[in-house]
Amino acid sequence: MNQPFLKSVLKNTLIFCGAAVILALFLRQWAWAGGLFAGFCWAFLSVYFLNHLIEMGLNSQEKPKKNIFWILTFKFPVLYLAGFFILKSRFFPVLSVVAGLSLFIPGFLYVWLKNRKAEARLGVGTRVFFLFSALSFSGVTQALASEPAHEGAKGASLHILNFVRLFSELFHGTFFSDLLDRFENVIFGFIVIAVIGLVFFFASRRPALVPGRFQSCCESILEGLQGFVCGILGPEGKKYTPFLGTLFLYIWTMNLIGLVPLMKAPTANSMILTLGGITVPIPTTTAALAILVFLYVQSIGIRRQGILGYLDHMAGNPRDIFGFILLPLMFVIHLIGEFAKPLSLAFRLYGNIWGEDVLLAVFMGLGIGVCAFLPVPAAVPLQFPFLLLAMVTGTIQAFVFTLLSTVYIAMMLPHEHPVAHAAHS
Amino acid sequence: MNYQTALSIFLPLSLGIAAFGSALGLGKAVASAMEATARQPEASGKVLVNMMAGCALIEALTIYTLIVVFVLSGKIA
Repeated sequence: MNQPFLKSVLKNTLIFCGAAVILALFLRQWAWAGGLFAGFCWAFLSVYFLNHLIEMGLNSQEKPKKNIFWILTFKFPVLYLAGFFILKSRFFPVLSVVAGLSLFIPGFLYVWLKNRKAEARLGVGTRVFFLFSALSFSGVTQALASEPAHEGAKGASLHILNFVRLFSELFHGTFFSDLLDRFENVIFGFIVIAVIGLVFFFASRRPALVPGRFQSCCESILEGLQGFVCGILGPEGKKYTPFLGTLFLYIWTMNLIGLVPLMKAPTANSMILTLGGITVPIPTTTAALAILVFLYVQSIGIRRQGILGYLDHMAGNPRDIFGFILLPLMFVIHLIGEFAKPLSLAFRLYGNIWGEDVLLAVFMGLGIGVCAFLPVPAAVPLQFPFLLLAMVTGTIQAFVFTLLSTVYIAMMLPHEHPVAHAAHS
Repeated sequence: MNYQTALSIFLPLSLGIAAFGSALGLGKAVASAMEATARQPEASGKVLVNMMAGCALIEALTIYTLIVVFVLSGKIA
């Protein structure tokens, strides 16, 4: 960040601020104009001092230490205290002060865009910027579409509004709304299936020897999955790639679709069941997937090792007298272990995605609450950083689910290759 | 102290204790994986996959506590 750049930013922001204040005065919003100006002055002074610091740091001929000390110990604390009191006193509307502060962002962007070389193509930075702005736009629409807190009965949790719920409230009280409420998650599951199916259908419709962009993208996804599964299971993993790859793509898309406005992640769904006075949330979608994995793994074990080999495996491969003495114990331990696998698979996926959704909903409620005093429906996308976090978490959890399923299969195969041994011990 | 009070105090606490233990385990696993990657950068892919599997198994212990908390939290209200 060179100095002409900062000076240019300061100059341009001054112009922006003048325009904004004149606009506010024109609309007869005196407090808003004052707040804008106060916020701008604060940010201006802050950047000016920063510029000063950088300048002094660069030309170190003069005795800079004293000046730096002076700025750091006196000017900045006073400035921040002043900002605190401006915000705290509520003399100006808080939003106007914040808007005044953030006038620097357009100024910064404007100068940056102006300084960019005209002949340069769309750089990485610009792409990242566009991605971020698209994401934050999605955050705004999501926040506007969410309802602050859906006060349910017992075990009330926060919901982000999705379009199925919207329709169900439109047809409130009819049979159709009941149907929609009941099959909400199934509908989203089918949407996910349709998305994946259509993408791969169109990618493989006219396969070319020299693939285009779209086809090679899909092919690289499949090759990556194949390489991942075969890396753990060895060359015979090719047989299990379709199941495990589908699992990964399905869960991944289900996790990410929750971040699209008016959509919901089916993996974050649970059904509250009351069994003998105990209330348990059953994560239906993830439980279904985990039970599927459980049955698949057991059937592979029986098919590949035979019934006797399977029972031998469950009894802990007894070969000597101690093995046979400990057989009942080992059998029970293995049985519990097998049943704990789908339990932890289902609850891990559900817990992570559900927690992420609740976090998003809480911050959306906060973003709406901040703007509640405005006459128009508006929201600050406070949940924006958590959208990025949710993207990472969704990918990692889908990956972990697939990885664990693969490891479970590896443990069930006859022990020939070293990885299964390593996973077993 | 009736049992509702006891539950509402100790359910979050139990989750915290379980998470503490898991955090120690995860820290150890990740530290060793980092060390292994630093010693042998070409094996980073394999180390990462094995670390993920181990991390998932360690995490499962906290998830069991979470299930217990879910089950018992119905008793508070």
